[in-house]
Amino acid sequence: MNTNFLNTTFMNTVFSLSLKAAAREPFLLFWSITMPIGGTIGLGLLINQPGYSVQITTGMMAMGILFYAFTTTVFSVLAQRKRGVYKLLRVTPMPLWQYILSVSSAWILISLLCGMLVLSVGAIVFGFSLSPLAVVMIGIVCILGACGYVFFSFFISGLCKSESQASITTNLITLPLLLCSSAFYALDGAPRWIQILSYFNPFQWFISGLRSGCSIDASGWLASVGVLLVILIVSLFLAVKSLGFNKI
Amino acid sequence: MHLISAKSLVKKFHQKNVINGIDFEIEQGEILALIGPNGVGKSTTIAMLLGILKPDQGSIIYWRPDYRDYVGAQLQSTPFFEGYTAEENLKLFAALYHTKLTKDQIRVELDNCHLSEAAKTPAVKLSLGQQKRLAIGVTNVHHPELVVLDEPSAGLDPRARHEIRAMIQTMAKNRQTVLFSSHDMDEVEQIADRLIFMNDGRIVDAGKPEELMEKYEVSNLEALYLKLTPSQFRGEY
Repeated sequence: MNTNFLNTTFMNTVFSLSLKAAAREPFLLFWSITMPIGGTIGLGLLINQPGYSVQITTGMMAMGILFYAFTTTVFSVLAQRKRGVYKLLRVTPMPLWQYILSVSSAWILISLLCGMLVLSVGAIVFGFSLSPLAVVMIGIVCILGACGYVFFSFFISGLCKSESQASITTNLITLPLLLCSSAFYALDGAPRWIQILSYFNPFQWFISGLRSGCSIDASGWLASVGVLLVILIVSLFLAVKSLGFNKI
Repeated sequence: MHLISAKSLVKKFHQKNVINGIDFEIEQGEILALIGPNGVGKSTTIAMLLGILKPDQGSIIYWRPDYRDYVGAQLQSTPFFEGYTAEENLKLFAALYHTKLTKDQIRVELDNCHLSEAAKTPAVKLSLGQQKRLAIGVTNVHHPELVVLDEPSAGLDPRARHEIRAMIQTMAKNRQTVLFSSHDMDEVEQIADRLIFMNDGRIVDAGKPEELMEKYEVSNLEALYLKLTPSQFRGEY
């Protein structure tokens, strides 16, 4: 046995294999790449209004990341739980947190790449340009949002006993998040209660962060980053709880 | 030398004792079979030995503090990583045990599991027999001192069972210690050095197969199994 390697070497192996496996996921191709790109181009061309191209591009980016980092990973984590992977990890010398960190990093990186792909297509098709600072600000929001969703997916997968339960639960979570947000339409004309609800909608904060990044609105961006950080910490706490002894 | 020494283990689920104070040792180099009907606590015992479950009472003493580096385990389910090929599962499990496999080592490991041609096949798409062989392969990827297999040949056809038995015998030849649970008395008879019979969360008896057969005056292990694990139906033993 080779024990001279730092643990990071093995975390890298887990990371690169997770990346490879995740990239082969057909749900990724459809829900996080094809559909957001199709939606961005289709709706952007259909509703040909000034400023809408950026709105729909960021909305679709956020949706693609939500679908991958949350919905797809709920199913991946559930499948691993059901097959006893997390139980088996208790037998190995690799701490569970190192494994979770490695696979989560891979999923977060894929989310970031998907988001950036949608952004690039939107920028090319609609001809808007972004400064390097804006791209960095958007990237940071993507990473924070994806982290929160991935950690939340560990918690939700722990509540579900089967794929059908996971399907219902993820739909019950994602649909209100999407519909009570300004991902596809402005909320200015929406009923007051929806506008109030949107203040408590983590997905809306994610979209606001992306849009603030596009326009380099530092105060809006910082507010969104702060909320996303709080969501990330809560999600991490819930994820750790769901992976506790005898719960895996 | 004892690799594992379990003392007065008790495990409760929903206030009910499923393991009722069992004591046993695992000796270095032996093939030890844990035998008993479904639901008597074999898998729970294995889960406690592996640290997956905490015993409610009792203690487990391991032969070394860093024992996790030197144990390989296959649980009842075949816990492959979804979306990974057979080859990738081997690499990943090796990484979990802090072992980095070269291409040649992966080829050898796949050969040992008779899975060379299925290297690029997603593990979950392999046949049950292939999955079980891969499960034992990933268990052994870091050449542990102790291999724990929970019903390694359950649900397999005779040829697949034969292949699993051959893999376990190879481990024994390589001076590895093996603990396995089974219902298949033919399998137990062919490979086990020592047996532990469990019933109702207790150890009914333990010893070498020939000694137990002599003690209970039976001619084969199936008869011994029937004698030590009473039927719930009247008129049978």
